[in-house]
Amino acid sequence: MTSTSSAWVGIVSLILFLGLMSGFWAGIVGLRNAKRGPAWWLMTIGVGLGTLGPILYAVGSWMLIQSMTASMSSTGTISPRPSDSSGVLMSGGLLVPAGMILFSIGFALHGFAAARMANRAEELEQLTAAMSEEINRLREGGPAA
Amino acid sequence: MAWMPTVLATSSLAFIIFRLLIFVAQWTGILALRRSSRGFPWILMIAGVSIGSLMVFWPFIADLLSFEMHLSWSYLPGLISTLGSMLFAVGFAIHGLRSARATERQAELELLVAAMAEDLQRLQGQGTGNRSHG
Repeated sequence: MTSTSSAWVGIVSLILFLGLMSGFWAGIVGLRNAKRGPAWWLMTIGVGLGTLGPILYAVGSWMLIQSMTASMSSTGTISPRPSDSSGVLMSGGLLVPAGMILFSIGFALHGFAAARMANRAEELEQLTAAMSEEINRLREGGPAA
Repeated sequence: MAWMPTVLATSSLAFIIFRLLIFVAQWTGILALRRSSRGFPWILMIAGVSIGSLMVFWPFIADLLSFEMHLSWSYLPGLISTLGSMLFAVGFAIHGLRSARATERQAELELLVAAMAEDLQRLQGQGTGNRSHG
């Protein structure tokens, strides 16, 4: 019963993780065509670390279980310090918050850049409208004058 | 083990600073995006960030309301904040795909403005030419 429910938790977490990461990666890829400034790089590195973290965590857990079963079968006791796997586990666990911080800073910078871009787009729209009016006026009034 | 409380206090302080930093950065980004990305993706992103922010303060809120959660529901805050992140991710994906189109449109507008400026100069040159001839 317990193993079934923990398997379900694992499957649901995997689906949620894949859904989240595909959303973030789709956004990153969509924004790639815009100016690739430091904001984009920070967000990309953040999402990359956020993807790598859980994978390393899973690898670390697998290594931990492997080393535990190996020590169980060889000595009959669970070895107290499976050091390689705990290093992988630790780094996997630390990569996610580091990635979140980098992504958030990149997202804030991206917000400012997008606000500047929106201002420029508004200026361009106004400029185009004014210029087309001016051109029409010159074309109509030019020959008459 | 006298160092244990210090380590715990430092790590929880680091955790709070970490959450606050993310909170401030996300809200800064969302508020800065309100003009350029208004609409459905922005609403999804702000809903996601709001849920995430609420969940940051959830322990304090639960403490304040002296709300005790049954152990079998203890995964609920984690699940809700994951769903919040999900909403944010979907909004971010749509925003990214739309901003690709917006960038293309802006490049077109820049070209159009350059072409129109040239046209305008030519027409103005003709205008002054006509005037000087007449």
